[in-house]
Amino acid sequence: MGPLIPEIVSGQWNNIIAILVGIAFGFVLESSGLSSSRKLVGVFYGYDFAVLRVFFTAAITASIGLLFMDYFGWINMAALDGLPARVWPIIVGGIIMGMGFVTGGFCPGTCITAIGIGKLDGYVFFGGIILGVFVFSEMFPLFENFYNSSNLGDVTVSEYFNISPYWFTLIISIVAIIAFYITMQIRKRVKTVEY
Amino acid sequence: MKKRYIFLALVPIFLSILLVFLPDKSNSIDAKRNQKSLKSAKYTGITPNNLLLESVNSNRFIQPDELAKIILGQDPSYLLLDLRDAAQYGKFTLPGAINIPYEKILTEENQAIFDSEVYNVVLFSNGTIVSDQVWMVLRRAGIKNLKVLNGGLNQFYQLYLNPPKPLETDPKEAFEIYSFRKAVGAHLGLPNPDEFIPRGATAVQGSTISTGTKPAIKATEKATPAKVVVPEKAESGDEGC
Amino acid sequence: MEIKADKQHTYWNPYLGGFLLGIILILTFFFTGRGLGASGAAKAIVTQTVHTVAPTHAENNTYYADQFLGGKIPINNWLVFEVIGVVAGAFISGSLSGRVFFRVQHSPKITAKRRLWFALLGGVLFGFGAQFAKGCTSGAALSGMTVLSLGGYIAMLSIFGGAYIFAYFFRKLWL
Repeated sequence: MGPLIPEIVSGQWNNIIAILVGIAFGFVLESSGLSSSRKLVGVFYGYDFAVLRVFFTAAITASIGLLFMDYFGWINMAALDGLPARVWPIIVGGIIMGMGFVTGGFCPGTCITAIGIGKLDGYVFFGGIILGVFVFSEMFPLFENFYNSSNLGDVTVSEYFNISPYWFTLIISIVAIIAFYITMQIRKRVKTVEY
Repeated sequence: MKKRYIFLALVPIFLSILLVFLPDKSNSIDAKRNQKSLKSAKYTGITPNNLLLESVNSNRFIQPDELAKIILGQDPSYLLLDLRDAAQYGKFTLPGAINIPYEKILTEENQAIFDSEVYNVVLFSNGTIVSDQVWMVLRRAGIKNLKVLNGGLNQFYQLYLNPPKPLETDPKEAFEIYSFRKAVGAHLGLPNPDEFIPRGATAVQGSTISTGTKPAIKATEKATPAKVVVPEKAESGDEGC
Repeated sequence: MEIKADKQHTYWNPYLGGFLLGIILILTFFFTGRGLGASGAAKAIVTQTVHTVAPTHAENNTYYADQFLGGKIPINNWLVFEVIGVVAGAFISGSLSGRVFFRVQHSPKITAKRRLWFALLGGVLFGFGAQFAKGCTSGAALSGMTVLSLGGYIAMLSIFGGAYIFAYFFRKLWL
């Protein structure tokens, strides 16, 4: 039963699998056009919602898939890495990242794909990420207390809101479908942008 | 185009509905989450590195003489925690000690005792092993101000039932400690030592338990004897623990 | 070599892309127990550089020190290998569609130089914020949402919420 590493398959495969996963990830992202910064920020201005569609579809597909696999006993979802819910640090970090997203037009994953196809703004963005990480690390003693605060641990949405994960996934799927439809209507009404 | 999308949109909805109504979810993630590995558990306690640093530091041990001083002085800030089972606790325990069998130390009601954080907690059991293990567990749970009684009750009673007589050549301190210990024994209501050497416990050597602290309590201080009167070391099982 | 202009801008249907990405996520979780990510690779690179150049300084800073505690090598990080793969995968896909060449993609209303400055600023902000949240959109938000993690949903809402808040002020860059 999954996850295969580290118990069923040796940990030495981990890095090889990482490369393979990365190749697939980069290929799909680039082919969906998410290496284009103008396409990415379209979701914030209403002229191209590709990001929303790819993102949400991926999340739903993967959630449903994993829940089915968990039900059949092929994978133990509780053993998967979640993100510890450090509420305020995540919110603050997210807002800062949002600002970075809309100024730079990339997020780290798509920035790497842009590097792969030769976009210099992608290189510069990645350089900016390195700089940002460095600045944060040097200033870390100032943030240390805040960084570790309000940690609820690796709690799932179903535990926190006390609903079954299956109902939650159903709700999210419905929300996503509605979002796709609404954004389709919005796009029709927004002035087309050529890029 | 439209029709295709409508069909596609219905697929995840249909699959999620299927998931909701699947039978026999006893193996589901909510059930398995209770057996979550430590890696994803909420990490509020001490990190392994710091735990290692604390565990090699012997400051967490409290020596029997220090504890005796605390008991005699009836220091209210100290909470004595008897980690043995209820039967042994009922037979005899230290004055003012409360009983939490160590297997139950992590239940919610028992953890509530540590909530106020005003107490200095002294963990003890028959020996040192169980109380030290509980120290590790409680430190991991983030509880502070813990001390472990070195040698446990076995050594404690050995010390005060039958304090090792100092040799003629020992310094004056040793005699002071000796008279202090006899006084503690009397205060605790311990009877004639020679009749009650605990089974299996060896006589404690004087030099290994010297604390260096001068007993400041007057031996003649009167205090109500605790419910401990006759230390019956008749328990088997984790006697040595 | 003639590159058809329309092929260059023909992308996959985003739902197809999302579906395939979802399958990749499932397989990644199944094989390795972890999701995707990207900003962690930047963190590894920074730590490795600082550790190599100024080891004592790195040891004194807990943020760096955690990563090479116990003799671990910071750059030997799953995400670094994954990012190498992403570059390769994007290159392959771009080559197949004729999208590989050096350029700066910017709105015709601003200069390339301005675009690059803002890309730098955006990167610094993103790198900074990603440390607080311990992830980016792929690592924290996407992979977190997949395992129904509360942190993942909070991250997703914060990132997109924050971007929407600031979108109005930077519209000149894009529209």
